[in-house]
Amino acid sequence: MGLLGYVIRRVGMSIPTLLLISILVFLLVHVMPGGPLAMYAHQPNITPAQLKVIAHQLGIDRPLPEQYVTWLGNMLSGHFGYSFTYGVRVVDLIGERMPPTLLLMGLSFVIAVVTSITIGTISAVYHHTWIDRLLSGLSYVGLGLPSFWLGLILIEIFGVHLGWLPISGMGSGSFTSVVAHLVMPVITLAVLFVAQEARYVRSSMVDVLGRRFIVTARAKGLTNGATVIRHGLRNGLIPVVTVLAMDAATLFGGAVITESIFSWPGIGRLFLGAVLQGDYPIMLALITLLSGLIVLANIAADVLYAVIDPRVHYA
Amino acid sequence: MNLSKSRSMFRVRSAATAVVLLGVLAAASGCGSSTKATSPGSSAAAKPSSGLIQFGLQQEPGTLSPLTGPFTTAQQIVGATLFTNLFVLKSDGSLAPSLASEVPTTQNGGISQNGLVYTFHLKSGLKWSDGQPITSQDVYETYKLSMSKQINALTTNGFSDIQTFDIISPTEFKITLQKPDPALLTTVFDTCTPGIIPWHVYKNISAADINKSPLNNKPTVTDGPYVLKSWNPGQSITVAPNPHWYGPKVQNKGITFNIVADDATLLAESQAHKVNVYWFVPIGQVPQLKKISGEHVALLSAPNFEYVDINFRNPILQDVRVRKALELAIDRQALVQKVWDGYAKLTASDQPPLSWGSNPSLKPYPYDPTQAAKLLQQAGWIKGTNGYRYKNGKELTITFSTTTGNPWRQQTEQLVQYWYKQIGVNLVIKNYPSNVYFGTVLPSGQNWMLGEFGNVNQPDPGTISADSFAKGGVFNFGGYDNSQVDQLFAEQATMTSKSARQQKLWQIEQILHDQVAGLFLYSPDQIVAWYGVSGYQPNTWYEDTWDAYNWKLQ
Repeated sequence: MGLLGYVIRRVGMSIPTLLLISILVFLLVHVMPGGPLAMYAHQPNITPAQLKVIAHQLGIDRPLPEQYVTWLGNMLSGHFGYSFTYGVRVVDLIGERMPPTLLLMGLSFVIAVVTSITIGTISAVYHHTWIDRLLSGLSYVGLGLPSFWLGLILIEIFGVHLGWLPISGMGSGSFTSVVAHLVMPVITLAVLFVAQEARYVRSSMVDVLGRRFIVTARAKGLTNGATVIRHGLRNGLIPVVTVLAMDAATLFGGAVITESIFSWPGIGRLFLGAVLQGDYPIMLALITLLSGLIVLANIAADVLYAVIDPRVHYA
Repeated sequence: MNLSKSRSMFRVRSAATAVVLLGVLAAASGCGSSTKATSPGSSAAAKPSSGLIQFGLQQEPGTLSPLTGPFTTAQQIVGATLFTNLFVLKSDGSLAPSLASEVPTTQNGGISQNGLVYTFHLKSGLKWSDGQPITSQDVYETYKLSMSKQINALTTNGFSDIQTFDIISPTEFKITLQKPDPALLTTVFDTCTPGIIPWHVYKNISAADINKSPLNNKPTVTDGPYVLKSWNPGQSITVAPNPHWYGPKVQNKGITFNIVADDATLLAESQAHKVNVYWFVPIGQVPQLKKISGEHVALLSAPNFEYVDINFRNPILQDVRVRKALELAIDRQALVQKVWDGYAKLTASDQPPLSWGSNPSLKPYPYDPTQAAKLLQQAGWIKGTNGYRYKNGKELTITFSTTTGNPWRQQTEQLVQYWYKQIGVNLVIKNYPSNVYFGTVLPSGQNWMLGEFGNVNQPDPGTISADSFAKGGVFNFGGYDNSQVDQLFAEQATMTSKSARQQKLWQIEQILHDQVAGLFLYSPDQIVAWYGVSGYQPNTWYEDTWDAYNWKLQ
């Protein structure tokens, strides 16, 4: 009953947290200036009377507590209400837009992690040599590149001048078409992440490679590669993994810009459009979903500690 | 934390990361199928090799319904290929029959002499894209549904003037108005927003469900030259020829509207010859587009006008001398040259030169900083030692607001700031994102004094003008209030004689000009670029897709 009881207790405790988040998010979205009627401001032949009718249809003329209860009901029923812009269920919109974003972010994350570990480790192994200085210099350049600028430069070179890669969209749906369309957005999104994380990896690895157990490993006759990979990396990456996990969230911010430049049909553009058009149901659904995922991930991580490390017990 | 525990945590976090990544890849693998499942047709390749015309669309429409909003220009651009109406707005701003057999006038007996009764005749043998006949009933039900308070109708204007709607036959109907409405035809019967709904499809949906009907995003039956083939959310919309289209033969296999929100990306697509039609080109891209081999770039006079709304709630701006000084101090010819490379025309009022409501004898205010300074002096604003003017110890500080993200507006306000400084006015710039500007700032009437934005005149020039300057008008953000102007707007709105209306509109224009009801800047050209397409005929009164059936891939 120990672990199960703990899980039930944590899930139970997360309900008031999620409820509080939902209230805060709801209030924040509604105090934002603009609002959904702004998108009607330039509609030909619109009249003040018609604007009132639209406000009533959207339900935004009702008291905030009443609007909140309605929205909460929609959220609990699983469809998150109807988009003010598209007139369709928000859950359907998210279902359409989430997979492209997950593909873009996931691939960028994997490539960025592998690349940053490789670059950081090489820098650490050859620290204070020209290799280290070159890789560190490149990292700083990467850090200084705004993603929108890098994206446009890639488009100019590979899309316009060389004509090797498609410029926008996600392609026709075939595997090769999707891969071709992915190249430039993934590079754009991954570069900043690599530049950032390679610095952490280098610093951590430099620290670890100077420890006595590394000297011992070498004294035992292990090759340099085996020492670095088996003993260095396993210890050097412990603090890095935490940073990687935390920084992964910043990828979402980058995805909003990257999706806009490359017209990638993902959740970032949906969210941006919703903010610009005051589409409350989409904004609320996406922010609440992300908040809920973070809460659940925390619970899952705590539970996994107990599963993997037998010394951890939950009473 | 000891090392073994650290390793355990490392394993935990690695496992968690792996789970997340697996989830990501698993979900991503379903990408294509998800898109296809939600699209009404097959997913189309958005490349010229597909044989489809590629159109660069800066915004994804919220809906493609001919009945419901929210209205977007993108909805009208795509919608014009799917839906037609009784008439169509031609590129010279005049009406031509579309579903109707002729445009009713008093001369041909289609409009009664008192302007109250309209008789319409539909062409015979018209069919929806599913082969069903288009009848008077469809028009009647469009009117009825538009007036329902349960529908987020594209407009109620025009329809709200109808007293009775009599169906005489499947191809003939008569509308009797409560009062004459000379703008009726161009308010509700000349575009796809609103268009006519296929009643045989809509009749099974209750009015309360129409706002959320899948038909809004996936119209299954159309009466325009095309039908919807697919809508890949966030990516593209493809239309294909309608086999039952009554009009001229469609000269292409279809059009793919590629949703590309970023102008820089659209320019790159044009340079790579991946886009056939690029509309709403920013003025800054014209030189680059002109360098593209085979690219046609057209700068066209359009019924647009850019002006600065004045907040009449502010006591400083209630003085006409101050308003006139602010108008005279702007070198608008320099604005046109520096900001628009000469591709804009100065305006004397809210009527752009292209409009028949524009009075040719009314001249725009000249650039006259000396006279502007004199007027401010007369109004009691005296120059202080720091170069700015003061009255009762208060500095003459004016806030100027507009939308963010529009380079030409930002350039305009910087120049205005410089010119105003020359006459002792301290201009403070405070800009907002478009939704905040139009949704909160301007309607509130607070925290702004001068607000720049653009508007588009309609074929009937009285409509937007009244919206902007009549009391309670939806665009009258500054609260301009002039009973004489209101009276003139009301009178012209029910006149049946175009020339008599024109006189009234010119009178209104003169008053707005004399009173400086706004700072009238210019009418910018509309810029469009196309490549590899013949038969392209721009239409600044409607949308360039109005005759897309004539476009042919070269």
